[in-house]
Amino acid sequence: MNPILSFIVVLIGVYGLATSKNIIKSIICINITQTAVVLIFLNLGSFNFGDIPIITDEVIPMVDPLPQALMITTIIIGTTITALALMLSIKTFHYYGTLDWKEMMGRE
Amino acid sequence: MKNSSILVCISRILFPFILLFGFYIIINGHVSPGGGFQGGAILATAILITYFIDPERILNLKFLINLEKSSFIIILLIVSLSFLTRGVFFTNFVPIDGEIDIKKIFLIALNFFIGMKVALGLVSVFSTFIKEGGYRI
Amino acid sequence: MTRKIFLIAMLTSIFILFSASIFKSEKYLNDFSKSYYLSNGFYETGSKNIVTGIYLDYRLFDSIFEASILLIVVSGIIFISTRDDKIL
Repeated sequence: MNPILSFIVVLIGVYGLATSKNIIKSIICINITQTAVVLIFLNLGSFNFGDIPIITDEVIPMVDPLPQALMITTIIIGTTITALALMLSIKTFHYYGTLDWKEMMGRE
Repeated sequence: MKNSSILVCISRILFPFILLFGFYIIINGHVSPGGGFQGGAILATAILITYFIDPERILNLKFLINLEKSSFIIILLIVSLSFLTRGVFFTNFVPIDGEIDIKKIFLIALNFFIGMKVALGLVSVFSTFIKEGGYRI
Repeated sequence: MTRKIFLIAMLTSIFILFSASIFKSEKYLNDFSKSYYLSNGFYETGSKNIVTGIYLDYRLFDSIFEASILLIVVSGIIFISTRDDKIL
């Protein structure tokens, strides 16, 4: 049931990406979508509950360590994508003088 | 632009502790939660808090990029060492039935260099943004 | 207005398809790789933290190219920021 609740957050991000008029809001929506994908993976990895995957002396049930190792990669790449998009938006603002998609289309 | 003196004072107190915590996360990455990427992000915040102390001072970007490149080359060299001992790239250079205490050397060294690389990358990204904004915070 | 109605209809259909696939796939989930990592991970990699063992030993290729992506993006940001504003 939990991955479905996380998928609603993905849909919120896609809706915001389709309807927002500002560049900064579009970048925030990309971030929301990425965070929701991380949530879906972590939910699927821990579908039967357990402790963190660190070996100790006693034997206890643990969650799947593979999605957590993959999501570390995703977080760093999301940071780099956000930084690159923000720098491109700064350059776009210097060139067009606005951050609105519609005004930018009319100005050419 | 000048920051308030309370912010400057608290930043000066917090700076060494954040640095220490970042190195702790990196060095103990193989026995406790943490690792190179997470500790590198904490180290980057520790270096970036110096912009609160002195906003006029901009770090030397060329030096940071050179350090980052050299740490990436060191990572590639450490990783390729396993071709000489085991015959395959991109694994531990200790054989698979070796001592566990010797295998930890590889983990600690690779965690340290990955953490340094992530910290330098994030610091250079933020320094570029501050430079683009015209020395204002 | 019609654009928003079409958008909401599209998102609802995507949601229904995703939840149907999740309900279908619940019985195919297994834990072969999880039990392998948890039983052999410490002796093969020497790391008590299995996540560190995975991204520094089993899937090291992934981590190295992620670090290279970070290097390339930092170079690209510095390259873009030093260009003239008129050229874009």
